[in-house]
Amino acid sequence: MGSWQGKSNLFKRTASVQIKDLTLRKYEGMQASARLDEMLRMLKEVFGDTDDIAIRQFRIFGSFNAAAVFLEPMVDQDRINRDILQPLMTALKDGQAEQLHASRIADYALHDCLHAADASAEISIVPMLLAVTSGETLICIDGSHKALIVNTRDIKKRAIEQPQTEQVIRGPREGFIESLDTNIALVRSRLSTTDLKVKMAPIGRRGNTNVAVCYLSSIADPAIVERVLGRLAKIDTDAILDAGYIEQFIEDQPFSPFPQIQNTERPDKTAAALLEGRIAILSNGSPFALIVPCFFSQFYQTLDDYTERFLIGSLIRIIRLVALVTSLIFPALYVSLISFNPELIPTDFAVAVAGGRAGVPFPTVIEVLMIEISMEILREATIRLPQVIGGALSIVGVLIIGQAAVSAGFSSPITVVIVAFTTIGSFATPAYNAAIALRMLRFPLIILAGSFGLFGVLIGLLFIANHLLAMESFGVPYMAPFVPGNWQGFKDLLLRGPIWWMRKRPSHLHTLDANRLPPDAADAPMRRTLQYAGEEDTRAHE
Amino acid sequence: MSDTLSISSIRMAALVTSANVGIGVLTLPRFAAVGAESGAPLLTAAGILCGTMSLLLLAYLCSRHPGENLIFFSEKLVGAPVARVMNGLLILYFLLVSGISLRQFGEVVVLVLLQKTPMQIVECMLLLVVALSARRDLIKFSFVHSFYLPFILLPGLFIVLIATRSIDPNNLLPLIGNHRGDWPNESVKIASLSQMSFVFCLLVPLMKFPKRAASSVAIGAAVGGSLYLLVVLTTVGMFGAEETKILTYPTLETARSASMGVGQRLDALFLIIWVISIYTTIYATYYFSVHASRDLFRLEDHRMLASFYMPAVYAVSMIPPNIHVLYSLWDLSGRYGFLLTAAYPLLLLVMSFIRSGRRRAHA
Amino acid sequence: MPSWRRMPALALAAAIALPLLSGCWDRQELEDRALILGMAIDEVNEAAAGDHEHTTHLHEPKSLRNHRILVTAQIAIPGRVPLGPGESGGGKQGGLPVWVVKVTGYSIDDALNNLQQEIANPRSLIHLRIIVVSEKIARRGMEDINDYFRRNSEVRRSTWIVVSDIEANKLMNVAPPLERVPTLYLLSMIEKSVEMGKFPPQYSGNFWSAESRLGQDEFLPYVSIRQKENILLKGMALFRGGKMVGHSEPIEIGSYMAIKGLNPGGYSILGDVPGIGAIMLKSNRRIAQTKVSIRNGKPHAHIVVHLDTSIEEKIDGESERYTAEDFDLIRNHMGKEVSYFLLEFIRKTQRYRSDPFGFGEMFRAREPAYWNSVIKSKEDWEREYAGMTFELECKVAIRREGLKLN
Repeated sequence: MGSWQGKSNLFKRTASVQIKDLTLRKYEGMQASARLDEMLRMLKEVFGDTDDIAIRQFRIFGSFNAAAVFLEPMVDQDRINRDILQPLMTALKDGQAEQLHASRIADYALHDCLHAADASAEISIVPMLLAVTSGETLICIDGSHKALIVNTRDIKKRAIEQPQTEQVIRGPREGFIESLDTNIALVRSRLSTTDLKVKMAPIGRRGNTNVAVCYLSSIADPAIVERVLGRLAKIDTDAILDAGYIEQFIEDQPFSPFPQIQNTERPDKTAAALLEGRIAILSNGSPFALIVPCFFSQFYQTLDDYTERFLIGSLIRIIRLVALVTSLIFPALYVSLISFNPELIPTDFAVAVAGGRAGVPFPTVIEVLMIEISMEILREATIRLPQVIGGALSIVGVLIIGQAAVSAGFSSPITVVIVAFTTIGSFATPAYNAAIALRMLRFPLIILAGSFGLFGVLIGLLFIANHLLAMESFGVPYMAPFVPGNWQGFKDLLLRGPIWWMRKRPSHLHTLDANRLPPDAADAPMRRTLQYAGEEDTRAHE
Repeated sequence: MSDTLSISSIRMAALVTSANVGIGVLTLPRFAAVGAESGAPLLTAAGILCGTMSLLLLAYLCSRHPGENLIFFSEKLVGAPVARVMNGLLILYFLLVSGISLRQFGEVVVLVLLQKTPMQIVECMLLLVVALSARRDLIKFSFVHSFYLPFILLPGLFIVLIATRSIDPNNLLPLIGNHRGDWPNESVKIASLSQMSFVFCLLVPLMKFPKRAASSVAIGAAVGGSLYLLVVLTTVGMFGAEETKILTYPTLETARSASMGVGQRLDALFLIIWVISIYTTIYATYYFSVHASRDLFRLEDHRMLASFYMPAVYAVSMIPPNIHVLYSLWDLSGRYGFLLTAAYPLLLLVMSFIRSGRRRAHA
Repeated sequence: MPSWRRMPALALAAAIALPLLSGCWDRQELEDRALILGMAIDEVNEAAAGDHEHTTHLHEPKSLRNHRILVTAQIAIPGRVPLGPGESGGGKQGGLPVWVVKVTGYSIDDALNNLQQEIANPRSLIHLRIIVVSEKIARRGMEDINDYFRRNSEVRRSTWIVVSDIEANKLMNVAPPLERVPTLYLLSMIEKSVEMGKFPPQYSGNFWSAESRLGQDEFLPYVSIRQKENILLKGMALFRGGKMVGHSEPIEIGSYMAIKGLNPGGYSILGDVPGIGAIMLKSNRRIAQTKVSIRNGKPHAHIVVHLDTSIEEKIDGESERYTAEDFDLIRNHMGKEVSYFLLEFIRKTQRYRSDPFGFGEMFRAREPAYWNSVIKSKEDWEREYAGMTFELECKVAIRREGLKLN
């Protein structure tokens, strides 16, 4: 497996000292002893206070003392019985045992006896200890410098289900789970190609969490791969409990409200990203894959856009864009219209709105802020509550509180409408993290609107837009393909072009193979369109 | 990483357009109508042509020296002392222009949008946005301009389209106006509007194909110029020259008359969008001052300068005591500024020809 | 780029600090504004007017002696107009949804300042949609009134200015049952008549533009009240040199629109056709071509008006059935009749020396040599206009005659 320092060419030449936890540091570089009792003493020293350790002593082939060491909760004991103990404890034919020298016994057992696919011989202490902690079985043999490591890990996995956060109408129903192996398998099963490279190494001093970087070597830009590996190598932390930890360690602009790394629970989305020339980072224990580099436009695109026909996909995408913009600026616009520029409201409606607001004791900006904040509280509460109550609460929140606020003269009915609309709009943004960023940015905008009206809103939007324009995700401009513009990218930006028309991969990813489709990919569909009920059809009828 | 390190021809054109279209949009029809009455569109066209020519000159000059920007190669062409004085003058001129533009912007906002808000606050807010964004590098500078371009062009075209049906062709006749105006003088004044995109001379070395600088600039200036021309055409066509002359912000009145059938006012909306075009213009002039100073003083980083020039621009914007002085100052700076920004590149180009001729003679 | 990392933080800091520092100068809630929807301007009878409110001056300005005006403003009362459909015409129950305030002053601004002394909320002209000027004021001159409205950035260019033949403030009290807000009724009446082709779209903006032009005189809608509550569009108020000089008949609005070729065509023409009877023709589309030239040193215009019409009504029919000849007869006869009263209207404006058509602008545009030598000011053109000669042809085309064929 190796380490991220090793994977990254950047670190090839620098002498890196990987810091382990205290025990591991103590045994750093030590070789295993050939004496079983010494090994057992050492193991008892390390795992002395651990009650779930099991040390099973036995005799290999009836003649060599050995011990199997494993952590009971993490292993499949049946497999240890069947695949390790049974073959090893079978006595050999007469004379064969005598021929075997104690030092070669490990190799013989590994090559001729053990029926386990994932098994290896090891001579250093540290990997042995790590193997035990990750649920593998260590077999120490008296008289042999080598110890055997057999993978007997058995950790309970969740079944593969439809991802909760990224549901689709049409498309695969599989989602990642917490097991890295399963997740890689899910991706691999979609891309059966030798180009799919998976680089794995553990991260974290104490967690030693396996992290995999996947990319297609014939497409992904080596420079970006190198950059990803380099940043991963620099992570030095206790453990990676979720892919989100990695995201925060490697993102370009930690202080930006906008996410610069996409996360997904969907293997199909991951595969699509790999095909575009992006890089996926998966980590053990997390059902989320991180996708880098990432454009802002990815946050309003969903898989549905692509699985459905392009006209429908485009329409839905436009609606989602409208919702996205709405969730950001709608309340701010409302505040500035009511408090600063009522001349933009039609006269009869303006008179009526003034009537609706007549009893409200607060300025619009305060009113909107209060309702917005209570809406955010409701949203947060609904996520935390058990689902059955949550549904009830949101209805209570929207209907009862809104109605009550209006009849209590606490807010005007239009404010409630506006805030409700905004909240719904923000739920239409598929990426939760991007939606939250916009929801939060709406508050400074409301304040600006409350102090400078439309002018304030515009200045706020300029700030946001300038910030977005300055951002980069792994060296790729964040606002691509809008700025810097790219014609091929425009086909998949606001609209979703026909699938046979989007011939190029995103150019800003600098893919090695820029073409997704052959140059004449659009010919056949276009010919069918133009000869609608024409030659092709008539011949078919004959 | 070609797109984060170099500038495409289209982005260059977008930059020129978005820098050019700016403060002049609101007042240009009045200047043009005062200058040539119903001949305003023709006068505008002449002025824009004049400005575009001078920009093309500069673009050609820059593409002859693709390795360096104006500040550096000018020192080689005319010698360091002369070039430094001239470049310093350019920097001062664009600081002045930034300040006056800022003041004009403040005047409009305070007159129409925020009557009670102190103008200083309004100006400071915009200046803050400009100065903060001036801290970024040249590539990001070009990003900003190409991003905002649609927001500058589309609302303008929208207003023009709405207003088209109220155009009376009689208002645009006779084509050269009833009385003889001072055409050369007035067209120079209009030409100075296109000098706002002077900053592109710093970006030519970063272009993917520096040889295409001239064509990019031509396209950019043409698009920006057409928008100006359209604005003048609709405004004068709608109000007539006599009315245009007495309106402080004729284009604003066009937007104000253009009601979307519902009879509601669109001028506030128009003004808000107009703020974007002001922002890009002041950004361009300010950025030139900041970046050119960096190269002139051979500094490593321009971010300090970006903050350092803020008070200067603010101070300039506070000089004119009233709107009349403001516009006469604008007039003056436009006229002499055009002299500077057109004649200096011409001088450099001549020197460049002489040098290359001498080199060829040697070889 | 470490500086850009600080950007959002700075933006946030600015967003929080600014309102704290500023105190939101311009924030003015909608319900706290005294929205003036309509305004009427009348002459003041000095004897009956009463005291001066000294809000803008201490001593009467000499140049404005006997120039006091009475401004009647309709201010929307928030809360009277319910939000949403609710009870229709809800305004009636709790009294008028508008508050009518009368003030006097030497100028519009002076009067409005007086008004501000009387009401709590700051006045706001952003929704001023209609200004009614009494004929007396209009005859005295509109320039002073225009000046205020043109300078003020709150006033729209799509405001309507109308001239009333009676006291203008009476129109502010008219409360027809159709609209919730009285002013909006007046407004929708005029706007709908524009939609139907009953009046050219002469917003205040167009009025002001015409005022500035040397070769055109301005005009305004001329209204009156019938049966207390009904508002009648009575014609066009014609101006010369900024002063109203006369008004047209309602049908002459149609004449105006025909001569200018303005669409849609809204007016019907009643005419006698010998041998057939009285015929009502409705004009659907108008096209006008005007050629201007100088004849014998005098401006001359040749106008061809095409009218697309349909037969709406036939009264006291003598012929049982139309034939093709009858159609031609109607066409020719009506053509003559129409061109007669079109010319009649032009003569009327010539008598007033007021050129609402903008013929002068055509001369300026197409005959600059003549224009530059003769016309120096607006009066020059108004004098020339009186002596202008016209040739007018009217071509009527009948396109259809409804569901009945005789």
